[in-house]
Amino acid sequence: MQYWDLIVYRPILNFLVLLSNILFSNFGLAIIALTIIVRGVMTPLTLKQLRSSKKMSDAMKTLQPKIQQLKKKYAKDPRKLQQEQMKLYKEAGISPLGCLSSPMLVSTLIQIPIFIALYRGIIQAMAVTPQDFLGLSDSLYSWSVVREALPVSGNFLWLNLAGTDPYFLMPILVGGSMWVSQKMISQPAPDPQQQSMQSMMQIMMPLMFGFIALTLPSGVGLYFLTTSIASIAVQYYVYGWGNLRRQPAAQAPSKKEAKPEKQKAEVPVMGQVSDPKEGARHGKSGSKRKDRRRSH
Amino acid sequence: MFSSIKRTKSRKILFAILALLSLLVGVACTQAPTRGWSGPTVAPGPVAEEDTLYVGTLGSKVIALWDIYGNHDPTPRWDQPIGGSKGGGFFACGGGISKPMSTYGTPAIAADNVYVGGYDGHVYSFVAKNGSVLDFDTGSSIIGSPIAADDTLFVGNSDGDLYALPLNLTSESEPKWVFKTGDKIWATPAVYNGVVYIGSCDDKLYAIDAETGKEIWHFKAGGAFLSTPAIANGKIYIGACDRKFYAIEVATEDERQAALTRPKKEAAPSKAAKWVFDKAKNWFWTQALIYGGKVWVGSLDKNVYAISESNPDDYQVVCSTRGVIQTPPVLMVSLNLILVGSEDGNVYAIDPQTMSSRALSFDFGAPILAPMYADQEKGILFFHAQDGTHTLYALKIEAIDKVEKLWEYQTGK
Repeated sequence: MQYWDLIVYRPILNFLVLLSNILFSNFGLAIIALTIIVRGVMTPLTLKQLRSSKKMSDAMKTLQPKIQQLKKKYAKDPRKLQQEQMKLYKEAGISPLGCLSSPMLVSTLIQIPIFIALYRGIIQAMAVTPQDFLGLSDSLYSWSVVREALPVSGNFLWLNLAGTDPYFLMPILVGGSMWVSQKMISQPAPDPQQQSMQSMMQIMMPLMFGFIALTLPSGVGLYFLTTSIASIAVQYYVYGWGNLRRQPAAQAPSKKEAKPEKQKAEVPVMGQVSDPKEGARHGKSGSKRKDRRRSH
Repeated sequence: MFSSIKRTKSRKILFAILALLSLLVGVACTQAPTRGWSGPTVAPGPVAEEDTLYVGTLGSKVIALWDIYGNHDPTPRWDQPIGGSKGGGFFACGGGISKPMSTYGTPAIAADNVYVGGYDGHVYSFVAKNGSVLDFDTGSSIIGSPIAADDTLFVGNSDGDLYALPLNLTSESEPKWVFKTGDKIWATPAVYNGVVYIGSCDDKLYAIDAETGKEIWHFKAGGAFLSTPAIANGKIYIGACDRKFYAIEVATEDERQAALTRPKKEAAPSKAAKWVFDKAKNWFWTQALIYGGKVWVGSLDKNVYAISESNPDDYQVVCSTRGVIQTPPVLMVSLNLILVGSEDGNVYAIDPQTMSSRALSFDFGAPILAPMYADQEKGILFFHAQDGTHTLYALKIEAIDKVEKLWEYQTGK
């Protein structure tokens, strides 16, 4: 823990306070700037992660027909189906663990402590109470430019960064941006169970972070929002708008959808020239109806 | 979207995990320990047995204890709640609003009343005898202690406002004046010769005319001022968060008169320091003691410095502890000992003759951050040690190696 403090946390905290001094004594701008810088430094890893994910999902799409064939073939033998599916994934170089596959896991593991340090640094730098301020004294370097910045000013736009957003805009922005970010990169999963979990995560995570932003100081919400927007920007570079604009894949019609189609087949289409002989075969009422239309 | 979500076992498991995580975080955060560091003040009674000790507690109360000199628990006289912040709230570990906030200031006593500033921004006035209370709202948290001089009570708040209030305080009281600084005031003011000296988090120490509230001058440091000024021999001694300790000459009568006649739009002049001590490795957050031609002051770098009053290069580290020093050193005149508490849970005794120090024989096991009170006549030291449970101690000190604990009293959990 000491090493983490020394190598990761304290540099981030001090740099945050330093930025606050440089950026017009504005702690909000410092939070945004440092988040962007940290995301910028992590971009090569993030890009690798996204490209790996995209490659995997493209491979999954090409395998879909084969997976459907296997399902038909082994409909009554789930165990065999699973074995054949795993074999197929292995041949195609896809990990069924998805985001837990090796390069993505490494990338995520590297990023997590940095973001924890950034989150903790924001909380501590704001030092709302004297005891928090006392705790800060041990973590700061002896640079005068850092000392001069303290205590940091909590005012940014309509926000008091040390308190909650009185207008509840920040939680909405946090939740909304997180939903957009997730939606962009979500891909249909081959497995219905996985798809179900994925769909639920797309709702739960934005809701949870929006709720967190509701109760935590706005400075933390600002960090979440900047992170989401930075993610959207990077994802747009790799995916474009991705799944955000994609139409849902065509599905087998449900029973309700099937009924109207049958009904459509029975009802004659307006304006179509009918074979008079066909009209005669269907009966007088049908031909009379058509004649009435023509007279109009 | 919702129609596509099927009721699957894994969905239920995921939801349960998220809910449990939320609950754990929320509960953990609502269990955060209460914050605050109020020190004891003792007011003499008509007879020694009626000497009463007043202190703020973790439970957002002010309590009065008497019968404080015996070898037994003191007797509670009264206790009154004051406003704080209950804290708690889901997922609120990180924010200040999440932590229960109690009392930081040490009570001040004047005109048979006890005055305390609360974290809710109210200045409370208790009748010393029976604890009946009146209060005045300043609008923002009060961290420092109020101080009474003549018929006026001076107190600063987290909005950066220094109030001059009448001693007969009520909720309808009109302040005599309010002086606005550029940032939070977390320090206690000092008054000398009709001038109020107050440090602010805008990096300035202000000299303000006590009668009119006019700024006489200000001194700008490289960091926030959180300490109470110590005034002796025509100088103000104060440390700042730029790790420097300053000696500044007090406001002269000429300077005061110039301030009173200065036009409103004209800014007050800036003052220079007489000398600067810059050898500390961390902030100064405590009042200094001036004694025997030296300035004795603790720092957050865990050291106590003895600096010559006339020459900052002539200094010595007289005591090194294992915790930050936030308590002002107190002098036990009869023993010629200087006592200082540390975050490491020890009280250290410094011999100003030999410049040596040692920890008293007790380890109180909890940080000592609040000012201590030394009863000179009886040789008893009262102080608050706090780490979730605040405990008030009374130590009878007869010599540096002859210390007896009279009692300990839990003031809150």
